Amino acid sequence: MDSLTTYSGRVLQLGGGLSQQFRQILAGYVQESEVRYAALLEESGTICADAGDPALRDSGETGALAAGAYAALQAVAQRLGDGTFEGLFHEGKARQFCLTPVSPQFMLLSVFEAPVRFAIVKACASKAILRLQGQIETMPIATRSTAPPVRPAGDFSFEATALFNQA
Amino acid sequence: MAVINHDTREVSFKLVYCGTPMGGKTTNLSFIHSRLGADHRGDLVALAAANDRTLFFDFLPVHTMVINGYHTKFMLYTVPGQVCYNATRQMVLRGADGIVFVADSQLDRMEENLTAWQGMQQNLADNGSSFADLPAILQFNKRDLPGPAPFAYMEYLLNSGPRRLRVFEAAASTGVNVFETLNALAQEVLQRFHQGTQPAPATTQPVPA
Repeated sequence: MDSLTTYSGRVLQLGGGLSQQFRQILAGYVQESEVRYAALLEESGTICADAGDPALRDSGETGALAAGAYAALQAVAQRLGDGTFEGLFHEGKARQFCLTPVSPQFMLLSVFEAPVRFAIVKACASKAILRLQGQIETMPIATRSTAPPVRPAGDFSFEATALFNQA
Repeated sequence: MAVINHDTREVSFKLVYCGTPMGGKTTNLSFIHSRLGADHRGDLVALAAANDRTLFFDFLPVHTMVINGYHTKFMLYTVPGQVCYNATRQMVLRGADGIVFVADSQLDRMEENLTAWQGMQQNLADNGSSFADLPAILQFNKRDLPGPAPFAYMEYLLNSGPRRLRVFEAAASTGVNVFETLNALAQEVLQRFHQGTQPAPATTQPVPA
């Protein structure tokens, strides 16, 4: 399996070391730009790969909020008549972050703090984004029949044992 | 959209709770958050206005190991119910792998149930998705309040189309059928994921509160 696949079942697959390649690109970006943390997010907020300070990684809350903020601001831009969207930037006292489009489906989250400057981050991010785009674009589109099977570990009929049990 | 990461051996699905304003969507997530062990969930994130009404969405990641060797994560979202948040609702619904429609069982909320039901289907259509193709569960909430609408009447309003959904009669504030609803949707999503793109067969037997 060496593909990023999308098909009619609306499933996106990362395999064959692809997320490792994403991580390497992000690690290089973190080193060059000196950002504290960088993550490649899918539009639903799923973190596909990340690098930098692991303390900034969580169970998905940051990804969901970031993807939501990104989508909301993009929608506002469109409603106000701006067809282009360059992402968003938060300049805080302690920390700053930016979300930059990589492709229609992916975005790059960069978290940094003083003395790292936004202009440097932006310049380094544009190089990293080109490399990420290169990886994404070279991946073949597979059909469902070529996707590897991922089989449930049990019976998921309606009468099956519950997946989640309340305490 | 489901995301499989074979390198980190993770699979994630997006499940969205839609429905009538003040119908109990956030209460469902709050109950799940309060009763699920910390090792099976993340933090409940609520983007709400000062009056506790959902402004953007609520988010709760829950996870388990149900696919062989793969850490399986379900990202639970709610949408804001109020009509004025139509654009926000449409945004949150984008890429949903499954839907719970939470209807309010109080008799005077039937018109709002119907409006929300039709609005959700329109939102999905505007996103290029089809409700007919999406795993979905109906939850008739607030069955514990006095004088709820007859079950058959709510079925007639919301579940009389060609596709009959599985229905749970719930009282989310006390947790009745909250986990059953989540499990039913998770199972339907997993079945669908495993079997292909055909909708899973729905039963028509309601699950009583």
